[in-house]
Amino acid sequence: MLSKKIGRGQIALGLFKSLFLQASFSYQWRQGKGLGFVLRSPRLREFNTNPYLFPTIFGLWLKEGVEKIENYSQILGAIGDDFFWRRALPFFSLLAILFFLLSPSSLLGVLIFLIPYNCLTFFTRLWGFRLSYNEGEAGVLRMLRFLKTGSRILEPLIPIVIGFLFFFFLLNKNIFLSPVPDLSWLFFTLAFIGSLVLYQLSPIFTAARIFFCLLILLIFLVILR
Amino acid sequence: MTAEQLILFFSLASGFLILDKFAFGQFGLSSPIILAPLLGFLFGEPAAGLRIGILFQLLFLVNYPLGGKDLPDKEIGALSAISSFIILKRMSGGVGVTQLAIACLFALLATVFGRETEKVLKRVNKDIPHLFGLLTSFGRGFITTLPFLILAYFTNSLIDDRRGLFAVWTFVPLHQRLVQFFIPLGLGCAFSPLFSHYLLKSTANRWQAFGLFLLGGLLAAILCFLRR
Repeated sequence: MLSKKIGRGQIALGLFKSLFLQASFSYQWRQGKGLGFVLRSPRLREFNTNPYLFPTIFGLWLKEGVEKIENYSQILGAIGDDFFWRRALPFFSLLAILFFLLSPSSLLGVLIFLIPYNCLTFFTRLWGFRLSYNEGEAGVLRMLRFLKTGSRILEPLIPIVIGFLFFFFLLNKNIFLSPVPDLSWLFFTLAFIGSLVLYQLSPIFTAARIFFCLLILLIFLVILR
Repeated sequence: MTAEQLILFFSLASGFLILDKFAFGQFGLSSPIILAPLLGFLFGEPAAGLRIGILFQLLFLVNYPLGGKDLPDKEIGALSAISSFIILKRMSGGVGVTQLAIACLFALLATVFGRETEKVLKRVNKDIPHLFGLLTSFGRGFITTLPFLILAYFTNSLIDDRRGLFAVWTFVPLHQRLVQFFIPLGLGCAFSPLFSHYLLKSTANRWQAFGLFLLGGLLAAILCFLRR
C-alpha cells in the first residue's frame, strides 16, 4: 500500500499540482504529461479524465497503484463531463444571467456563479480524493453515484431557468437596449423560431453562425439604405 | 490610458485570463458571463459588459467541451468583444451601439480564430516541458486577441471618417434603429440550441421538460407583474 509512505504535506502538494493538470494538454498525450507531473513519473502515457475528478484518480493511485487508474479514468471522465459541462456549468451560468437581469447594476451575478460553482468543484476535488484514498475502488463508485444523483437533480432545474429567462426577455422590452422596444420582441421571436427550425434541420446551423449571418445582413441593409 | 496602452493591456489580460480555460484551475473566471461584466464594470461600461456576457454565454452554452473537443473559443470571443468595445468607445465616444455591433461582429470571428490557435497549441504542447504549457497558453491568449484589438483600432478611424467604409452606417439616422436590433436577434438565436438540447432532446421526459419550461415562464410573468 502506497498510502502509508506519503505524508500530508506531499498529499497537499499533489492536490495543488493537480490544478496544473492540463497545462500542457495535447492531442497526443491529452492530460498524460499532467499525470506524470503530479505523480512524479517520467513515463508518458495517454490519459484523459474530467479535471475536477483528477484528485479522485490521484487518491486511487495512492491507495491501489497505477493499474487501477487506467480502469477508472475514462468512466470518471465521461460521467464527470456529463455532470460538470452539460449540467452544472450551464445551470450556474443561466443562474448568473438571471441574477444579472434582476439586479443589473450590481455584480451579484458574478458571485452567484463563482461561489457555488467553485464550492461544488472544490468539494468534488477534495471529497473525491478523500473517498478514493480511504476506500479505494468503493470510494470511486460512491463518487460516481454522487455525480449521477447531481445530474438527476440539475436536469429538471435547467428547463425552469431557461423558461424563466426566455419569458423574462419577452416581457421586458427595455432589456434589449432598443429605441423601438415594441419591435424588439418581434425580432427576438423571429430569430428564435427561424434558428430553431434551421437547427433542427442540421447541426451545421449553430446559433453563432446564424447570428453572424444575421448581423452581416443587418449591416448590409443599413449600408444599402 | 491611451488606445495603444489599452490594446497592450487587454492583450496581456487575455493571456492571463485564458489560463483559466484549461491550463490552470478552471475556476470559471474565463466564462463570458463573468469576464465581460467584470471588465465592463472596471472600465465604466457595465451595461455593454453585461450584454456581451449574456450574448456570448448563451450563444455557446451548449458547446460542451466533452473529451477535449475543439470548439469555438467563446472566452476569447467575449474578451475580444468587450476589449474592442472599450477601445472603440474611448476613441470615438458617442452612444456606443454601433461600436457594440462592430465589436460583437469581430468577436464572432475571434471565436473561430481562437479555435484554430487552440488546435496549434495542442500540437505544440506535445513536445514541451509540462509547466512551459502555461507560457504557451498565455502566448496563445495574447496572440489571438491582439489582431482583433488592432482591427478595432483601425475600424475606429473608418467610423470617424465621413468618407470611410462605415460612413453611411454611422451617419444615417436609421442605423441607430436597425443596428440596435442585433441584441434581440442574437438572444433569439441563442435560445434555439438551449431549447433543442434541454427540452426537445431531453434525456428524461420531453413533456415534463416542456412543462418545467412553462413553469419557469409563469414565475417570470409573476415576477414581472409584481415589479410593475
